Amino acid sequence: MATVAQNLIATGKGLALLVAFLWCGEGIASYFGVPAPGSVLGMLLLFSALRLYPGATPGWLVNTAHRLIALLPLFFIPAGVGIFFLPDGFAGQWPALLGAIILGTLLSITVTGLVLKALAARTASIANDPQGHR
Amino acid sequence: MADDLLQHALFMVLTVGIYLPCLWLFRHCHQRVLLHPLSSACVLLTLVLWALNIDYANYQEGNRLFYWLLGPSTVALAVPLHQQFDRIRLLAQPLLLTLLVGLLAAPLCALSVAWLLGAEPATLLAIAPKSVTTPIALGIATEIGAIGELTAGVVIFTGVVGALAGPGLLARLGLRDPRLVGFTLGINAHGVGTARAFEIDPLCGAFASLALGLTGALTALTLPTVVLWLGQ
Repeated sequence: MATVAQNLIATGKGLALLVAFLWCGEGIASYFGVPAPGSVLGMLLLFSALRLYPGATPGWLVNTAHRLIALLPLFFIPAGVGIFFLPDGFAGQWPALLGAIILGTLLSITVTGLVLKALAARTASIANDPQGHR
Repeated sequence: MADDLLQHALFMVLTVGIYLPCLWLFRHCHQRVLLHPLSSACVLLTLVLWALNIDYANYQEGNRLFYWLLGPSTVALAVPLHQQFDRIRLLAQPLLLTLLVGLLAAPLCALSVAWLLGAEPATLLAIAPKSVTTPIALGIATEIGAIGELTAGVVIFTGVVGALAGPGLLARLGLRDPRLVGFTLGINAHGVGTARAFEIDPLCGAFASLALGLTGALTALTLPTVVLWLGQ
């Protein structure tokens, strides 16, 4: 029982810290009129804080972060269902929409993937990271 | 009020109730991408909503908590980013150059295909921010005068296509390094691609997080200006 309670408290602490950074990011975005959303600014703020923090990243934060990230697909599902409920008036646009989404995405993945592969191969440091090679 | 709360709770239970068996199936079928919960759960939920004649707007409203949790989850991406930063720094130069290519390639590929297939201006506007994370894309859509719901649908579908087909396509191109695969997924398939990258490998996920943040921020700063300038 004690471990369950400890787990809950640790997750609560982690979530509270993440939400605090989210709100900071949202506050900065609206105050300064930055076009980037608060969540991305919050991510940059937390990243800077972790870089500056002298000690090791607390375990409760690492665990909460990894739990939330593992649940990301679940959080995207309600929005994903919306694909099948597009507003009316785009009936004739389906070929263009599907083409852009499927062909366009595969095309840009190919372009960026090949560029990155070529550029990374020229960087000697890639050989210094044995775990990168699989 | 109490009815509303009950309805919201039921819609969230519905989402989780369909997500969990889909996840189980995915893990027990050698992780075939077509069975990924992002496709299987979305299709099943759509069928359930149609069968039960549930309004999508109501369902979405009921799942607001999940949408809200995307906020702290995006902030949480800073943790793996920090943990892997030393390995990211080694590749800083190729990553930044690729980012610049990706910023142009992602909207240009989509826009040219759509234009060839006869897209109307309103459709083109909605497609332009398709490779950035949903909240950023919606912000851009508002600024350039695109239809929000259409942009949201296109963005999510793009993420799903990239997340499901991306790793296989990249492997065929000879790209198997989890760092490079992750970064490519983050540029082209935003949060959905990043979620998929974390399933492949934590290192892959960290590189996707970096690409997601940089692509989102830079697109938000540049795309509205470019579109408004082109529109004149």
